[in-house]
Amino acid sequence: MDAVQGLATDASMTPSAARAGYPDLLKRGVVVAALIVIGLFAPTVIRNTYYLGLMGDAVVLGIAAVSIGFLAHQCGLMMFGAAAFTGGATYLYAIALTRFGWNVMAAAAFTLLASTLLSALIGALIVRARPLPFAMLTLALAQMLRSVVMITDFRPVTGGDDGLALSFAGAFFGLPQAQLSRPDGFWPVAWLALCGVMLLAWAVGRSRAGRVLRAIRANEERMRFSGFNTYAPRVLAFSLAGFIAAVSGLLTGLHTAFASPELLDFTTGGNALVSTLVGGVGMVSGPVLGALLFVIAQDQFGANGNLELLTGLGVVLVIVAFPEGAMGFIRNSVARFGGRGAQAQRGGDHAAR
Amino acid sequence: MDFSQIFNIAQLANALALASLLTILASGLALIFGLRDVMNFAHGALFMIGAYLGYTISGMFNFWAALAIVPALLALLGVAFEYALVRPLRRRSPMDVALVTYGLALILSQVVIKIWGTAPLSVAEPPSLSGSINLFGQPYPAYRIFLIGVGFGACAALAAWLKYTRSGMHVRAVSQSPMVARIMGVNTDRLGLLVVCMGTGFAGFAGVLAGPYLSVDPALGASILINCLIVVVIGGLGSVGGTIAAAVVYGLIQVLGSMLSPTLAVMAPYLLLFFVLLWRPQGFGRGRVA
Amino acid sequence: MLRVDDLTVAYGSLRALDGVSLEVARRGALHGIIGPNGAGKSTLMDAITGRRKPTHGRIFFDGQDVTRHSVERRRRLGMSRSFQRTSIFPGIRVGEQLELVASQLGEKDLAGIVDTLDLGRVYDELADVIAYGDQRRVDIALALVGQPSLMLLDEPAAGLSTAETTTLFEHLAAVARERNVTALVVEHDVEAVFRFCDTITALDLGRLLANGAPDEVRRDPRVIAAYLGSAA
Repeated sequence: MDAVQGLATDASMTPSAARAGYPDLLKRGVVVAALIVIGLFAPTVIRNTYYLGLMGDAVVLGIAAVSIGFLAHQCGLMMFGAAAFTGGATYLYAIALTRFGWNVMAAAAFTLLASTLLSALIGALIVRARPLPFAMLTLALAQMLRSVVMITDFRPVTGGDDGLALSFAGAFFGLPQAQLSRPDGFWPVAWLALCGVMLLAWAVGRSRAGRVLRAIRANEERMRFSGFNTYAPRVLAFSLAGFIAAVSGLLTGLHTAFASPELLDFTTGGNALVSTLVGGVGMVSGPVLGALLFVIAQDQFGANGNLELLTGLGVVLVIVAFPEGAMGFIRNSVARFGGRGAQAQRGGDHAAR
Repeated sequence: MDFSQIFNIAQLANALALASLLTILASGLALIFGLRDVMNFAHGALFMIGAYLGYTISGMFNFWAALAIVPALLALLGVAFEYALVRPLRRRSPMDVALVTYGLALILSQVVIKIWGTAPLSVAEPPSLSGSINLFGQPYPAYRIFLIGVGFGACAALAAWLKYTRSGMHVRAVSQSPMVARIMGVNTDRLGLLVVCMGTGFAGFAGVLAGPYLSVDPALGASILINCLIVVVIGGLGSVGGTIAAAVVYGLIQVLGSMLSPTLAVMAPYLLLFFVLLWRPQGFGRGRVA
Repeated sequence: MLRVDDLTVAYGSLRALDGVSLEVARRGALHGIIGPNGAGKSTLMDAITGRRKPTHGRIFFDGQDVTRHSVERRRRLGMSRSFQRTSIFPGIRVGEQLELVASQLGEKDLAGIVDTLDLGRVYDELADVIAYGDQRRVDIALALVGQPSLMLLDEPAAGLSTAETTTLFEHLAAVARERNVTALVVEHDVEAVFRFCDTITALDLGRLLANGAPDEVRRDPRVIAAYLGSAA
């Protein structure tokens, strides 16, 4: 337990506002659970298949964005090449399904397991790099995978530029491919996955592990001089981010039933990165909001045309003027109107320092 | 024995042509990073703008006019880049600035599409350089020889400028040790402006040169950016000499790779990048850590 | 409890530290380290705490050979340090960072440390927005957490006025006594060192000049020649 217990009685040292008591947590827990259940029934409310499909896209992108946001907030590292981890997972799933011939449940389990392990290995190598080299390393990783997938020698395994069609027989948690490929059949799986990873990211962020990570981010050397191992926590954080990204990739595979080299494109990873930045990394919900905004913008402005322009402007605007992103802006506004003045949390909420 | 099977001059020349372009671009990128601590993710987009402007001006006048005018235009763009982006953001972390340049790249590529459309454009070689030269018994496009010559020539000129002139020495000093150079009285702001304009001008120069060689389309920027980044990092961030050397090595690796093992050719640059960033972060040249 | 044997830190032919040996046996003592610029004081501190690897020599802490120990391992054994250039956790509240380190090192009396170093007022503030003097004390507080038996303080009075320096040293002497912590203090303010420290080490050009009680060191001709001039 925190050493703060002994301090709580001293009136001159009030514990930070973030430390909610148990009854408060329970209340919030009930609200969250209710929201999750309500969310499951979205298809009954939103009859329009097209919009439901968009929401599904937003969820898949949102999960990838949560992964990027988690790593950015807890470790101060920007995953420019997130496509390597999302697209890579889709390909692992595809290979397990079509080349190993496994059933969908085994393939899904393999995807998540293998992705997390590979993330741990890669993390062990790159997590100590400074932020800019780290970003370039992840970018190079994505590009490398893209090129590897296209190598003619590997065609039998990866399908080359044709990609891999991966329809599965059998059922994924009781859902057959036909249903998973439809927006309303896909939604429950996607929604639950999103809620799951958001809860995971939030829980880790709130835990001691999260505080350790953020302290390492603030001053790695002083953490070592305070008796902390600063390497292992970051490798674990990176593995978790890789796991969350893999969830996104797996969902893509389950829903679209196709793995193509475009999934490993820098632009694909760039979309998730942009979503994260625009939404804001300070809160777990930020990247999800950003993903929703992105998908809406993508729908309104089309794949060609003004989407990239808007995205570029969005990124510039956020970094220059709104470093805490849309979610941070919303939270600060609410706090200000709520009368708590400038109690808005500063400092570690910027995407990068 | 048919030597052309083993030692294909055309392939070698192709790789050198690409390396030449890469060298010009990477040098510009290295200069900008060395002096301004800005990893310019918009560099590929600038290259692309150069190519497109080259297309238009070649069409209006001729290729040589383009070769003279476009780098100047891009240098002007560099002034805007320095004053609108680099200076206002100089207190921000390098990552923040890099992200802004990334956003800028997206904006610029859309601007290009709005003006010129998405269809690939072809730029004609100047009449004096069209046709082929007989190279070791094989016909080879004359323009590419020109490209190789001019490209590496420009880089040699840059290297000489860095080594033998006063400003060049200042640039090298600031690139390696910004703090010390400033204490020694080097005016980093004025030098920074000069170097940024050189960097963007070089990108424009490379763009015009690339026109008749590569297909001018909106994906040009992104595809060359990654290779540029890799070359700059391997060569040593802040070391222009190292960058030039790295670009040449990169080109040769591509050649060897295409002759021996295509798989290796694809993987080699990335493996080299991983190696450098993890074990020798300052690169192989006399660079500094990002 | 701390013994340094023939410690050398060399970069090629340049020797930042050249065969320095010293011993601090008493617990709860204040041991000053003085020397002109470039004498190797910070290097000595870095080498003892593990921030820099010595090219030669050994370091013994509480009888254990810690020469090959990592920084974090030495800390967990009870050897802490503060920094010349303030090293705290920006963007995190003072209380939070102290509590975090306290939980790692098993500190039971954090309130006492906060009280001693007068950090109560800034306990809920973000560490990067508080006054410089407060930040210096947070730096020291982080070194005090976890009942260290040896604290190495690198110019703790840097940037402070003479009066503030005196107050700081009074604090340090009290802390050393009350908590039975040995404090090794690198300091430029020679007067303060001679006044408050129980023993003093004088360095110059990486070599040990003198080691002992203030009076001895003050009278040592080599120290006078190298450093004090006529100020002794």
